[in-house]
Amino acid sequence: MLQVPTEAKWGEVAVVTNSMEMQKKTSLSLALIAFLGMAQAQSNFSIDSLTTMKPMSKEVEANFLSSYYHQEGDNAAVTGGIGTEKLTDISNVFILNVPIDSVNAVNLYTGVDYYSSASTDAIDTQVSSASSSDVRAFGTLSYSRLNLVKNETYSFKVGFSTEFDYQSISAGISYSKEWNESNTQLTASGQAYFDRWALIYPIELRGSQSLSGAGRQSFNGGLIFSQILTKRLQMSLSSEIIYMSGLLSTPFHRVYFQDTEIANLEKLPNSRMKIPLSIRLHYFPFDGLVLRAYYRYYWDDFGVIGHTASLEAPIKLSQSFTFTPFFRYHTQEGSTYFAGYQEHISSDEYYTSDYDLSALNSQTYGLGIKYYPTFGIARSQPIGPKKAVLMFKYAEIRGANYQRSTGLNAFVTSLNLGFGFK
Amino acid sequence: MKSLILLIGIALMSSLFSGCMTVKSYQMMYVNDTEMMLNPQKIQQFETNFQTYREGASGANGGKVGGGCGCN
Repeated sequence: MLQVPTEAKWGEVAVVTNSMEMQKKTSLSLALIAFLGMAQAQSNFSIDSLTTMKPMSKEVEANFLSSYYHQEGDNAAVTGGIGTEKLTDISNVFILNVPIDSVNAVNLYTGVDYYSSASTDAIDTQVSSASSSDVRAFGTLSYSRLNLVKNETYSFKVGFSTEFDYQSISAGISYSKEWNESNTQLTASGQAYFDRWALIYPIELRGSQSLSGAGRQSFNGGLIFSQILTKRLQMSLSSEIIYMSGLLSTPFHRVYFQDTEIANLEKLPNSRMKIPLSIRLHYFPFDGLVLRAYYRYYWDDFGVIGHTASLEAPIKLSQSFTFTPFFRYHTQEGSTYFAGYQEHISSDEYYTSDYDLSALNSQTYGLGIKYYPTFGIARSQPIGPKKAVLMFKYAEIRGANYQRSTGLNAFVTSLNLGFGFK
Repeated sequence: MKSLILLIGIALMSSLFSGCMTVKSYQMMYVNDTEMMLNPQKIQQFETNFQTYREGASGANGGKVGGGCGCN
């Protein structure tokens, strides 16, 4: 049966906290305390908790999302860290969630991006290359199943992505368990991506330079622990480990050196390990306001170490309207393989002038507006013998401005239209 | 130092978990609010996507780690 923490348990918490204070000088001890705290949390939550997981809704849900993205900058990697990074991307996504019955559901996620890029147009300086504008199509089909007795969810998915010079297929699995009357949830997931480049080199390097492989593989495993802390506060901890191998450089990125006038192709190691950790805290301090705080720590073996923090504050102006101002700050140490235009030495083992891997900080700020009336924006007449109704449930729009310390600026605006059919 | 701060945070949070009272399903009006969902909002995916590429760092944020070169 479910156990509510007793005073004795609270005392144990205090002991743990005190021991933390005494030993906080050593990170090893803290890690141990963290482990003990987690273990104690586990002991408080009986696995045989009441079944509270809800069956799936019978409603078919659909979302149409669209976005417009534009960036300007002068550090294009295609031209060795100098030159325009002007890029425009228009993306459309369709999401469909269809419950088969109360425990089984399928989900379709599909979309198309259209982009035009001034920098990739410089792959071939004589002829406008195919990648100066391109279309990327992508899709993922997933299936999920609930076990209402064990409070578990299993899901599987397969996906693809295709564009002119890059193909990708993917597969993933996920397992989730709720306990403690659905106050606590643990999700484990794994995904694999198998990608392949069409090797397109800068025009002047064709014939003189080439890369040996065109494949790229990515494997990632993740754990998410979610916990309701109070009636108005909940949080989640997320950790991932990502391993990539194969061709991790981009075949049409140039690098210019200080000791030779001959450019070369970007060269990066053929494996990369990434470890991101994040914490999310959502708080409903009083009616009409929600605070969403997020922090992420990122490490990889290319030398990039990043810290990201964001705060969103949805303000419920009425039952139908929500305004969400938000701010995000990111800072990172650059990769050890990065240097700017003509700053590398040609004898370096690895080199890139891609400013995405440089030391930088960035700020994103903007506003979201959501219109979500209790009974929907519009609804159809009953359809068919089951009198099903199609409902236009909500609409939201969001705009964000992005400024990076390297001089890159971007703007993105997004639209989400939500529908239900029941 | 940053790792130490991170570990302190984890330790504090894990202590918090052990002391939490169970919130009953009839008390979940606030945590079940659509704005309180712990998953990233659907409309945020486009921002997450470009930030993933422009900052050379992906994962633990709902962004993808494959399926598109993002090389422009």
